[in-house]
Amino acid sequence: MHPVTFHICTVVLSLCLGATALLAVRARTRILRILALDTLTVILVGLLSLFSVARENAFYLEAALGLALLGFSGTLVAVRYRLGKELY
Amino acid sequence: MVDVLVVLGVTLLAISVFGMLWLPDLYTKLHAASKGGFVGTALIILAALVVGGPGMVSHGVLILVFMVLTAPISAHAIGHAAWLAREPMEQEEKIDESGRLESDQTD
Repeated sequence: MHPVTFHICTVVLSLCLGATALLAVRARTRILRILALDTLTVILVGLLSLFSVARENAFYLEAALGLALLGFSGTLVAVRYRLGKELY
Repeated sequence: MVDVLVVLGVTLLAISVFGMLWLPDLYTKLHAASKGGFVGTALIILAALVVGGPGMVSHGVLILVFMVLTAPISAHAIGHAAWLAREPMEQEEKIDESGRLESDQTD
């Protein structure tokens, strides 16, 4: 992978991370905040995969897998906590 | 090939975040975040499958399968929770096909 592509993609994804974090902080409702945090983990998985591609190393993908698992269960738990036991 | 996949994926992720910032209410933001975020990340992982050895391929396939299974579930959970919590719709031409949110507003 070309280093210029890697650096540009890293900067763009970091800006996306910052924007989503800002959205999570400034969210009007709690469910919007849960959505922003879920998107934050998806973007982090993308960033870790990008590092894995650039350095041709599988360790970053292991971290990405753990993060995806944590993000999914965290989203479900947060939504369920928000609604009491109405959901599922 | 790898660079093209990565650039496509990062562009899709950026569009998805732009949609989250720009669209008016939770339901439309969810639309941008779930589809765009999943496809963008999947393209970057596909690049990892192209470039990597057996270790990276096994991990990449695992993440892809996991995300295919869980992305719709979490999106559906958030959307269903928003509907149950009576999250308001804010776009111009809003339609709630269950009729509940509209009847709330006429009360």
